[in-house]
Amino acid sequence: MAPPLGRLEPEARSKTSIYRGRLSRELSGDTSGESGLDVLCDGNQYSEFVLRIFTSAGTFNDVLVRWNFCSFRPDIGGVCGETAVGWDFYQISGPRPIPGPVVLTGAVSRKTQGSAGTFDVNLPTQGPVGLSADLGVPTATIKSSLASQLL
Amino acid sequence: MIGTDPRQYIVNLTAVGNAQYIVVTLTNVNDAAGNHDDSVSVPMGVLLADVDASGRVDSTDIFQVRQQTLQNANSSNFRMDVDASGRIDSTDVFITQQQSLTSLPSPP
Repeated sequence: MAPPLGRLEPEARSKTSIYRGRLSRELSGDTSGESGLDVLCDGNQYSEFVLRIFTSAGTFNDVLVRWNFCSFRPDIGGVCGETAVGWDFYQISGPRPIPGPVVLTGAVSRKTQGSAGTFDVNLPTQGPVGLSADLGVPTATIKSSLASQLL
Repeated sequence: MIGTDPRQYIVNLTAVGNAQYIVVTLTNVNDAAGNHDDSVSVPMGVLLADVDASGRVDSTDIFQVRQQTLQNANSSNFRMDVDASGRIDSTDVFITQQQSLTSLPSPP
C-alpha cells in the first residue's frame, strides 16, 4: 500500500483533514482515550475503517483510516489506565456527489394495439395522475425510466 | 423487470380493473450513481373509453372515436382504439357509448 497521505500521532494534538479533495493536516486534536474504550488495544475493535466526509460543496470523500501506533496501560489499583492510538489516513476516493433520491425521469403506459403496433401513453411523474383509456382489456405494461442505471 | 435499457424497469399488468387508480411501486431502489429511495411510485388512472383523458366518459369521447372510425391505429389516434384491435371501428364506438357517464373516483 502507498504511504499514508496524513498521519495523526498519539497525543500529538494535531488533526488531519481533507481540503478540496486532498488530505492535509491542520489545527489540533486529541488522540488519547481511556482504556477499554479505545479502538484497538482491547483486541475487539476495528483496526481500520472507512471515514466518509461530507463537504458543504455537496460532495464527499471516503478515506481509509488505519492505526499505526498503540500504547496501552491497564487499570491498576483503581487508577485508570490509558490508551493512545496513532492513525494513518489514506485517500481512497476523490470528491463524489453526495447521493440523493433516485430521480424518476419518465413513465409510460404501453399497450399493443393489434397489428397496428405498440403505443405509449406518457404518465406524469409529478402532479396530476395520468389516465389510460384501454387498460380494461387484459394486459398492459408500465415502463418507467430512471436517471441512472438500476442496481 | 429491467428493460433493454438498464435505467428502465417494466411491469406487466394483467386483469386491471376499470375505473380505478393503480400505483406501481418499486421499493428499496438503488442506482449506479449511489442514489437511494425507499420507494419509487408511478400512479395511473384507468378508465375504459376515456379517450380524451378527462376522467369521465361522455359525448366528447364518443365524438372523438367516431371521428377516427375506419382508421388504423397510429401514434396520434391510438387512444380511440378502445378494444386495442389495431383498428378503430364500430366496436370502439359501441364500447365508448356503453361506458358513457362512467368516471374515475377522486384522485388519490
